[in-house]
Amino acid sequence: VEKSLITEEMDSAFTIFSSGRIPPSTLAVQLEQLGIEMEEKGYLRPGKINTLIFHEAACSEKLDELVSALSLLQPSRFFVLICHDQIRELTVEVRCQCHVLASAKTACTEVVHIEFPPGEESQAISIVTANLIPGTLRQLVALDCSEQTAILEMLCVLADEVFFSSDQFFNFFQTMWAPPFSKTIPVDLGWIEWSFLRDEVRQVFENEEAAGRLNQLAVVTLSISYHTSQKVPISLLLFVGWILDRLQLEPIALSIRGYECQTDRGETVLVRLHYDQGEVNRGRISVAFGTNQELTDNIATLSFCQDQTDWVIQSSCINGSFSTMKRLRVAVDAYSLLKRHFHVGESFVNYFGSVNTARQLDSLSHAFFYG
Amino acid sequence: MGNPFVEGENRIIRPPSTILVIFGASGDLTNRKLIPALANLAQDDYLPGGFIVIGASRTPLSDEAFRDKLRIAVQKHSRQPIKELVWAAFAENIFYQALDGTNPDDFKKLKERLEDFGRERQEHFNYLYYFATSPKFFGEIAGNLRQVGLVEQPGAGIRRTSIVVEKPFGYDVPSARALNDELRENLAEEQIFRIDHYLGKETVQNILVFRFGNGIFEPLWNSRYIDCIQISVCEDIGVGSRADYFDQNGILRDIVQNHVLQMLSLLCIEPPLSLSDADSIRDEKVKVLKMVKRLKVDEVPELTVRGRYSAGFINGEPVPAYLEEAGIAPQSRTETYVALKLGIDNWRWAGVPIYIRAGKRLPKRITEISVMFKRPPGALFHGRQVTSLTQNVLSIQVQPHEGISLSVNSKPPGPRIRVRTVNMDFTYDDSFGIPSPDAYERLLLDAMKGDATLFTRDDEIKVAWDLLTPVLESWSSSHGAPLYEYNSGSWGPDAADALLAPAGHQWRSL
Repeated sequence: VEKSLITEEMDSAFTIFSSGRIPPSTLAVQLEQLGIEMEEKGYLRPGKINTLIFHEAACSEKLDELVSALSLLQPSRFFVLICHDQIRELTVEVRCQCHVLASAKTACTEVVHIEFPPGEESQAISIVTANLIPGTLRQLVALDCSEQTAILEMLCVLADEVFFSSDQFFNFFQTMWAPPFSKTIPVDLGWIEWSFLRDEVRQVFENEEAAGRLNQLAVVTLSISYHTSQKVPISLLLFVGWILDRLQLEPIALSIRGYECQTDRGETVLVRLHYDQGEVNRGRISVAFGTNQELTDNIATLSFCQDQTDWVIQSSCINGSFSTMKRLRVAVDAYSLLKRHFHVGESFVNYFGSVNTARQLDSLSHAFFYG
Repeated sequence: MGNPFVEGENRIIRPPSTILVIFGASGDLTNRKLIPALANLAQDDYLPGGFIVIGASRTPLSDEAFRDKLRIAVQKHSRQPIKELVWAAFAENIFYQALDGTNPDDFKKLKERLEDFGRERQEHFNYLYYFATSPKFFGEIAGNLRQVGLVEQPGAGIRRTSIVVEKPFGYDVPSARALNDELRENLAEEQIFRIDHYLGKETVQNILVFRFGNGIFEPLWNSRYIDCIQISVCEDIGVGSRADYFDQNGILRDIVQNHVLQMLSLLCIEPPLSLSDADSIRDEKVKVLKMVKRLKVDEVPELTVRGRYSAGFINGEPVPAYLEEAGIAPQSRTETYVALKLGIDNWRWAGVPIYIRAGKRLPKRITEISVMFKRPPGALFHGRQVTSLTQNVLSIQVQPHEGISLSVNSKPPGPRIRVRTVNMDFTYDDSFGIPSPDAYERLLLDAMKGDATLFTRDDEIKVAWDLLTPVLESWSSSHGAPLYEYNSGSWGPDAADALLAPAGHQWRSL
């Protein structure tokens, strides 16, 4: 599925004001004038927060779409930073992005475009810091672009929240867990994308008998067949981490049989992971919880098979006594995932525990996680 | 008996007829602040019916040349365009007097001129002398004024005579005392108006109204509900043309000793007996400053951080390091950044950390007081995408945009219970539709009226210096706190973050 931001809501976007290129020192004045102009026109300025977006020029063709989409979801003062090796000097431009709301009112957001040549990152960031709305939320959006960890790290220091996909931003994802970034809350679109896996596991164990038998758990097997250039999407490993974290299983060793994990009662549970690259658009994931290594006594099994448009999900528990099957359409484009985050609100409560457990797995086997 | 016609009135709007004499009239302060403020008062019709300005300085200059110079200054620095007719009427009453502050004969000439104005206009003018000069001339100017009979004892003559002096009010406790003694040899305390322009800012004045005029805040204004207080005075500029002065003083003396401690004392005072009686408020401010816990010299490295800017970028522009600035000694150890952790040892504030930071070459010019409330227990929200509830913060923005903002947690629309912080804002522009006057407008007006509420009393100055003495002593010793470098355009040295970390606090994002 192509990761696109194009939506029908884009049609309502238009620009009312553009100051053109301005000296950076006049930016504060320009933003003030913009605010006055919006007020005079009776336009709303709903979002008094800051959103920073970094893009390389090479992948900035969808930038306007991204800003427009984000301004609908989360009205902000946008700072769009574009690193451009074809220009010689830093330039600043101010625009205003407006949308007509359902109530027929017009809501506007201000967009500051800062284009700079490589090597002028510090200058560009100093313009951002000088013009952030004080005392309000600061979001960093790192999407759809090649991974420029150095500048993202510089921007991350400014941010309270960072939107990114752990699957796309491998190195950045690792950086996120070390000071000084540990205060920045990550919003991992990969975690949101795969939330349906967790939902299904939760639902299976709504069965009281299945949940009751988890204290006899001896083995968890996960098979992942998914088309990707990387070995395993990090978000799927976070799914593994989530299962272990929820079952309070601590990975202690990697043996030929799999990851040996310990329960809080000191018992060992074997966690087996199988991974292979699947066909395009034909992901397959299966999870089995058993009381013995041969899986002759299953507490629960789930399988997720991707076809052209949907995921086909089969689940059963207590050796097939209770079985269900369903089809689920899962949005994977960034816009839909962001919309889900802003409008529905995906739970991140167990995200941190899942990451920690996944990292424990990684420390036992570097080749698997980040290889 | 007091004036029965004033009783019950908030204040007298228009001051009595006044001649304002500005010593140091050729200086920057006159051009940038004083005359533009007076022109705005003229335009808004606040000036006395009889009002004359006399600029006094060594440079020989005609009245006309002085007016022309001021006209340009007003065009450049006024907060609003001044109408031609207003300027013409105002400028007619501006005069210039060449005067050497050390020459008594020049003061006799000044006296003659002042008396001439009284005779010509048949008015009894009050005399207000504005000392826009270096403090080293304060004593001599005051002495010369008294010797030629231009200072009258309060209540003894037909006119009120008073002086306005600008900071710095000394360099430390002994020098502040010496400066005060010099002034007090010639004038009574009630004739001395020590100006701290922060006190003239609408938002700073609003602190008292906000606290005591709203039923919802004062009950919360104590250690039971307030987690910490932060006062930030951030400047993006470097030392500019003040290199010589700044390098001898540093930011602790330049900003903290006066502006910051004044804001702190207003923020934390107990309810005064009256808002219209200058001494009621000033008495309470002194009490607060006296209750601020004195740092011991050996605590200073742990509870203070000082820094000095290195080269960097401000708003996209490269700026030099402090030591590369013109006029800065290469071996200088002057701080351009300071962070302090203070506390007030009284029933209201015990246990509430008060964090102060002030610095130059920070990312932006902003002054803010943040009152951070304790977090509510989060049990209700556990498991609902809320790892911890954000603190409610009451932020009082002093500059550049004056206003007050309260952050509250709120549920965004949608099916789930989620929590998002939103701000409830009040800005002067939006709420009142008129821009706030410049601080000097209010302060000049008050000085003309003789209202000292927004001016600093001598005991406040002494207590403020006394409070900072251990810091100054420690920093001047060989084992004082290190002088950290920080990049221009950053928010100061990392050590300033570490100052807050043990208590689980962070500097507010500005």
